[in-house]
Amino acid sequence: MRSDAAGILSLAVLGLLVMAALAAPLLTPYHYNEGSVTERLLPPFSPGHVLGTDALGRDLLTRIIYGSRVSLLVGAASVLLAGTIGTVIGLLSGYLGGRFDRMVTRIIDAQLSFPFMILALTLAALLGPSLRNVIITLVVSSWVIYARLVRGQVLEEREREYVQAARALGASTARVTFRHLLPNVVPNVIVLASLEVGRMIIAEASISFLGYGIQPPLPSWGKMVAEGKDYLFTAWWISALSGAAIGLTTLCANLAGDWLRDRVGR
Amino acid sequence: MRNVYESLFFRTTDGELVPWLAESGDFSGNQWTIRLRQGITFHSGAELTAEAVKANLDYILDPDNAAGTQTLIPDVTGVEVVDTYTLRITTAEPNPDLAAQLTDVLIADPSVFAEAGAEALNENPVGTGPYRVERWQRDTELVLAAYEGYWQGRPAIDRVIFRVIPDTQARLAALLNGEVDLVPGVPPEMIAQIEADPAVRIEEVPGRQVIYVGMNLMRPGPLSDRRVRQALNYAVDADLIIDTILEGHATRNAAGLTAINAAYDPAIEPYRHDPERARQLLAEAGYAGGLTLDFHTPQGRYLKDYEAAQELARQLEAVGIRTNLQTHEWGTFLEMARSHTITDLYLIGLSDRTFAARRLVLHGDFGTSLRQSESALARVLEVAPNSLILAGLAVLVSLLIGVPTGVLAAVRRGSWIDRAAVAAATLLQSMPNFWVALMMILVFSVRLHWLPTGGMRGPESYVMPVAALAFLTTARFVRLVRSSVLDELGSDYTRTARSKGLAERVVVFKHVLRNALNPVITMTTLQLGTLFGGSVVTETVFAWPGLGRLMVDSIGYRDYPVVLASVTVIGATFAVLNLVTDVIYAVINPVVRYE
Repeated sequence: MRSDAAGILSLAVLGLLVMAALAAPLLTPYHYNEGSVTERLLPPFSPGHVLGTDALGRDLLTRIIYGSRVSLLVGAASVLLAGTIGTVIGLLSGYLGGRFDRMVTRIIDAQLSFPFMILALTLAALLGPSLRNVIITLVVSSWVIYARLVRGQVLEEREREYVQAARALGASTARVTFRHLLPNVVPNVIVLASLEVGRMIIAEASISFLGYGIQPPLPSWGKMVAEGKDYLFTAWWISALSGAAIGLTTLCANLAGDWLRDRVGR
Repeated sequence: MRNVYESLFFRTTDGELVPWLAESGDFSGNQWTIRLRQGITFHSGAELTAEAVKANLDYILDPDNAAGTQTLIPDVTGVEVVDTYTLRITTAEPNPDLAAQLTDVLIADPSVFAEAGAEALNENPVGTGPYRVERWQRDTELVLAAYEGYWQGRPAIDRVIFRVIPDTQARLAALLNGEVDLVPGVPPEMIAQIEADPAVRIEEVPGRQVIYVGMNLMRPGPLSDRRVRQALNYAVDADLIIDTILEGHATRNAAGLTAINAAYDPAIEPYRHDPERARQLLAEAGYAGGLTLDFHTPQGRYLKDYEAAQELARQLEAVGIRTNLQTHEWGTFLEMARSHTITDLYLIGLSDRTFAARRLVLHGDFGTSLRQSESALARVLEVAPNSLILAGLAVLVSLLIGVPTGVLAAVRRGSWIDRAAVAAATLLQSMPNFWVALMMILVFSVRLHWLPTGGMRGPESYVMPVAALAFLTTARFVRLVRSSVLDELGSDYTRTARSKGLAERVVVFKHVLRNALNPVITMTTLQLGTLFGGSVVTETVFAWPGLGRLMVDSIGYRDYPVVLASVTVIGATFAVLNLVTDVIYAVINPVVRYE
């Protein structure tokens, strides 16, 4: 199967990226902030710098490898946190109904009627730029998607026999939701989460690109595209290669997500 | 500003102070007697008289008007008219510097602002300068036309057009493309490349701006120790930054004044670069193990500020001073400076113009922001149509390409067309928008000179922004249409239609498409709404005067009324679009009925 091949291949590439991120100090002799301004803007294939150097003489390959830490951490952490929060709230909202449910749906509707980037950007600007705040921003901006999905599914599942049976046997709300409903919504949440990883990585890059995200000298791919923007004429490779790294990672995350979705059969 | 308005006195590029609208000024005791030139007229035709100048100064001095320019002439206590062309200005104390201070006070036609207030000048700027404002579109362009009645004779150039191109690279591409004739601020590393073009010439003049790193001594901490401050100075290798990042296009200054200033003393030697001494001083101060300081820098305000700050941080780290580097948009930085929330170190520039200008800075008042002097909603509504056009075109292009491709891919499921379409859609969906936009600029503007890099001028300036937005939307349409058509193709009614012996073409076009396109309508309005308010990055990269860019700028300037107004407008648009979707559904699909 072709789609299997693409899915497995992209999972393998993602795995390699994760390993590269973890083993960054072993893969490159430099630190991400190390370099001399006397060796700035060297083109790719310069001696000692396979992908060249940036405006401060730092090795671009090193910064791209270290940059994967930020992208993968932001992607994983924001999806994990937003997924968990969204799932729990969605479960409770769908199962309990009533005022809590009305409040939650209000919030979901209100939040979804604003463009995601605007919400994230405003939050990021309010919180101030840092890695932690970017993750918080993305979690706050994206948990509603999971909550909506889970709530919708719970509304269906709630009327099924197995839930009725559990309730008839006197199971508590907590037990019904987490023991019985949760396992049934988790597959869909995982599929959604896998597709969200790519979106979160691009969102972090966009926020950092606009200057409200990761602070220098920590390398973030989006920030590096922005840094290279001032050198498009003289050193186009800074923006081009950093952006290509984002594209490749997001592509793999999306392909893996698609593959997962086909397998779960949604 | 100086093309439209003029001042009583003027400082030439050589730094010399000359009478301008004034013919002469005499100073005795705490009084200045100023005689105006005769025969000067405002663009409105009204003559420049002592009465008109007094009206300007009175407006500035009136505390009710809260004019930011009041700090320019802080000790003026009164203005009186002696005769038509003579006026007398009284100061609290004898002030020999008043003429220099008045170089920054611009004179406007009092008939515009006397009743309506200074805000009226935004709409109707009337001065005495060589040019009058013909047209002004905020953040986009300003068109000046020669003023026939100018007192020094009609200017040689008929029309001057100022275009706003915030991005340096875009600005230079515009120059090399021949779109513009003059650009300021060429980055040093590009000088050689630009000079290679025979049609372009670079003029370099010594600047008056001193860039330095300030230290906040108002807060207790390591910086209150003199030895730490000295160590910071010894740790820094400013010459290296000048030679590399600025490629020699700067000079080292020992203190805050530049060579053009009368009080400049060339005998003062700057600190030498001596990391060893820095470490020693730190150890003496009890910081042998190093210390950590906050370091704030604006980004994009001064030439290479971002790079210089990072290099400075690296140099400080080499002697054991770790820094938390924080970069800010200029507006945010300014706000922090005002509210005294800048900690420890900060990179900033000081414009060494006159003694008077220094007084202004010491007063700590940067003037009222023009940004706030207009209704937030009016600003949002002014730019909203630009975003709507962009979003509309992008969605249209996406529909035209995405829907047929999606249908074709579904009908020919598994063929190479299908696989190529799905692969292309996945690929497009994974590319960060701002990167695609930058790469298009790199190829089509910087390399090929085919398209303008940004701005909203003429049909060709639409091509790249629309394409950049349409990429992602097209990919979404392809995927949506494909899966929706596939669903319908597998449904019972399709089987029935086929078994009746209908041609496949009829099945697809008459039956399947009609049902499969329902989600497309939802997607269309949804995308229209998203792109309307959400094309933040694309609008920023292409300097498009739209809602997204306004919001990014406003967030940077902490101009929350504008952010709030934008969000409200976007929310309202979403609501309207949802309603439109429902109505369209009801019209095309008789099954849907609303009570």
